[in-house]
Amino acid sequence: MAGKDEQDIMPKMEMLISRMLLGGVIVSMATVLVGLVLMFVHHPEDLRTADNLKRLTSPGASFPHTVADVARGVAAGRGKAIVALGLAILIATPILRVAIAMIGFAIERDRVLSAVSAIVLILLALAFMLGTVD
Amino acid sequence: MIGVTAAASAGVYFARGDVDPIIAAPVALGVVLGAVAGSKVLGKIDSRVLRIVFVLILMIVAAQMIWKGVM
Repeated sequence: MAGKDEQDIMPKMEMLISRMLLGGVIVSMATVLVGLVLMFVHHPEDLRTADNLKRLTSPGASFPHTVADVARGVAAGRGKAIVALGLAILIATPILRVAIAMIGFAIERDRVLSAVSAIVLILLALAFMLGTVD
Repeated sequence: MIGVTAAASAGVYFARGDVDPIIAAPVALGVVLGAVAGSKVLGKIDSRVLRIVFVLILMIVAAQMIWKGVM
């Protein structure tokens, strides 16, 4: 059975992770919503006809997807970049969740589970690097 | 909303520029709103009603997919 310390910290960590996941979704959805509204406020002509709206998602449409592009676009207040930032936050949320679990297990001195969390993090980083190399 | 395994591939797609924010944003918003509303409604609704609504929605989606595939 779990010792006294573990009993104290486990629910706390689960609460922290649950709040963090919920917070990540709320923050990212709010960011996406602000970006979408801003996009159509800046370019109201996109909403005027169905054809204009369709052109937004045409295969040739450009949108920011690198850190530098997104940062520059957000700084300039561009809606599309803010939407991209929101989606990036959404993608980053579960990765952050693994990092928090790893720290939590380390505080608990659970060597096995913190090592597993670290391996998951390393594999995520490896997958990302392999996937983005051309 | 995104699982740990899906985050690995989602991050790669995003970095490669394969995630069009204009397509992904309404999908993400719809999933969140639907999940929140669904979990609230699920406890109150009769399971028979739910089944019928679900079948109807699946049939509409199926018809739409066939329509888009053929036309």
